[in-house]
Amino acid sequence: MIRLGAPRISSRLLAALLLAGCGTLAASGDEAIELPGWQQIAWPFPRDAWEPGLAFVCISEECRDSTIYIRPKIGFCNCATGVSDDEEIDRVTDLDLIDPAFKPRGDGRMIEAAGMRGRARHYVVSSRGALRETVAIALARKCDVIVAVAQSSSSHRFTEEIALSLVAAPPIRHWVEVALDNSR
Amino acid sequence: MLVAAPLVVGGCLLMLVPRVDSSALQLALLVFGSGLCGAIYVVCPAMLGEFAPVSQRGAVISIMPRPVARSCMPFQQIGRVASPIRYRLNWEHMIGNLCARTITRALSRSVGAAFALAPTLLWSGAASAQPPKIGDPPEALNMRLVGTNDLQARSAYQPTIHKQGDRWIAYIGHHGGTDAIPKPINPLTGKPEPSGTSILDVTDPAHPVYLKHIPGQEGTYESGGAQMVRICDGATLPKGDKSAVYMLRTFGGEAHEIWNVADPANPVLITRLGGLRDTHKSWWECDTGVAFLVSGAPGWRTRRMSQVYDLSDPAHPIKIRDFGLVGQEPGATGAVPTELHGPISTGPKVNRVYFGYGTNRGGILQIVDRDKLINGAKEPTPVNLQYPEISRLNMSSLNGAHTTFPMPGMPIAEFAKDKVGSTRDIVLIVDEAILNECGEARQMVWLADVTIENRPMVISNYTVPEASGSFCQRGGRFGAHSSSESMAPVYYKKIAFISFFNAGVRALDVRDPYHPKEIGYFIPAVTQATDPRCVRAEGKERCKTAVQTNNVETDERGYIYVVDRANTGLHILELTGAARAAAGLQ
Repeated sequence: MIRLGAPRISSRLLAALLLAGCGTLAASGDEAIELPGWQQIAWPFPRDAWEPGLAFVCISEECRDSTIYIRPKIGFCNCATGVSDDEEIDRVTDLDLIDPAFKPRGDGRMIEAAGMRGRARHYVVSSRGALRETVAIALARKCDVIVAVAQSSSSHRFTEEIALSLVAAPPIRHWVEVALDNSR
Repeated sequence: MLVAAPLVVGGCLLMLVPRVDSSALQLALLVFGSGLCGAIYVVCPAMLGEFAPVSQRGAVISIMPRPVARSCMPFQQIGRVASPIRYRLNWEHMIGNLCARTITRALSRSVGAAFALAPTLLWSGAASAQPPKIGDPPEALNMRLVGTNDLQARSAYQPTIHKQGDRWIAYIGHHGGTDAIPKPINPLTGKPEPSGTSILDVTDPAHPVYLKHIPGQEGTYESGGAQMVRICDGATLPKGDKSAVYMLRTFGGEAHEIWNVADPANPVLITRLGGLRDTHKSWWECDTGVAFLVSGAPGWRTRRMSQVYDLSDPAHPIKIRDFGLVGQEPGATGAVPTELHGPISTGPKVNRVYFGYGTNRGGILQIVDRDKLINGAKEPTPVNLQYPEISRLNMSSLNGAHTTFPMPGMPIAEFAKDKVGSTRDIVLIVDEAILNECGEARQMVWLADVTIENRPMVISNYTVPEASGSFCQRGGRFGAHSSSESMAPVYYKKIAFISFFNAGVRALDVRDPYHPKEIGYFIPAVTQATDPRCVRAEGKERCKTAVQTNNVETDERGYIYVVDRANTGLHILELTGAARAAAGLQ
């Protein structure tokens, strides 16, 4: 059951995320990245064509039970048009790792985050036997794409807010930058 | 360790040499020693080629090609005078190589050579990551350069060579321009033109004549140009104009076009199929007119899928159907299968189409019943899309399938006495490298035995050894891109030519597909036009200039045409030596 009208992410948690620039910075998914209110967990999916990314679960009261998966995909973006339509989000994000039968809730929308342009779209995804509110985000940087999938038991708006906040958090941005550079 | 050994031995021997008191003998040794140093300086690179392990030879070659050539130039001139014109370069190279090897082997046994090696060895170690330089010679084994054309310094994709009357015409598709030069100048018109299709008369392959440039879609790199080109004679197409020669090409990503190129210097546009996106590597059956056009159609969830057309009358195209993997069709949900790269059909007789999905990841070889594809229900429902599929070979997620080149009915010598399975249906699968300086898993060549069609199996593979040329440090892409696709008897099922970006073109003996063997290669020299390739390293952009051999095709005479993604142009080659013998060429 999807819970609607969940509380918006608190300004305190947002501020904490944005100020978390002094966390441990690393380009490897094996090393810890500290984000206030979140606990990093091991990348839970089997090896595929891309390097494993970062995975976090929320440990604060405001976003408890939320999870997010983030990773760059090198050379997987249309260099000229970026992430331009909903089909592109369906293709490039990691939704299929959670549930290959994911279904969109509606059309996506253009977004900007972490200095990049892209698209976000909401889905209903089966995870561990339950339907969960899920948002997929794809941001283009030249020919590369940074993808994030966030899940929570709260509203889709809340899920998107926490996903965008996390992607824009300085430690994550730095990790992505280093990962992109090291992959070249 | 192996390379340093002569230094140690040389030093020990020097310690054992007794003091010489005679002034005359001292003078003689001084003269001999000075002369020896000079000789060693000249032949040092050649010696390194012999001393150095395979893993370091690429570095040596990249550092010192000129001294090697200089040391043996007099012998090359003898070869030039003595040899017949056709094989001039072969003799030059053979005599030059013989010279280098002879001098090298003689001097490499001397103690002095060990000392001469010391500074150069240190130098080679420090400079092993240097990219090729302008002026460096091409690198070759059993292949020789016949002719070149700069293609107006345009980035090139597919070459297709076609015999028109007594002439041989090369049609070469281009990517869009670069950021620096989005529209290169066409010297024939004096105007800047967005890159499209180059048309050359290669009847005399030593002197290709540039006839025409047909501009393509505006845009740079993959977003412009007219990458793909196929040719069919009107006399072969069932409903074509018998006097016409038709060229099917992409127009950037937005359209497919058909031109009449009967007069290749004055092509005429016949048809355009527009409203598309990401058009790419199509296939056209000349005897039936059926075309498998790689496109991105509105509503489909994938960048590229197939649009099957009847182009038997190119002036009046008839759409047969859209086709793709289940999950790519409009209205589907869930995971989207890997996008199409290109199909190759064996035509109605063999009745198979081999679709390659993926470039550098998630590769799939899909084997399709051609008759069911063309005549089956056309609505793109999951059931209808599944109907013509015979089987799939799901490759590792780390590799894609750029080219899937069928070679049905190959006799396997080793199996000749077996009562079952002495001939096999083989598909050559070529991945495409897309990232510079080895930023991805190795993209290479796979041979699949598809004799048992619902159990296709990879039986062998091939890659250029990275250490044979320090290719990950040369700059640009290293890895496979595509194979020759001509089914002309001269090379078909015998030798496949693989474009390998900065490792040039590779001649692969596939007569025993269970054990493919490289028998020749050619890496063109970089030129002033070669476009640098950049990567980000430690927060900064670093650029290197290297050849990026992108595509290769052959003609029925046996000439090999390689074109360059980094604007280095067209190189027309021929096989020599053992590779020529393997092809059965005189």
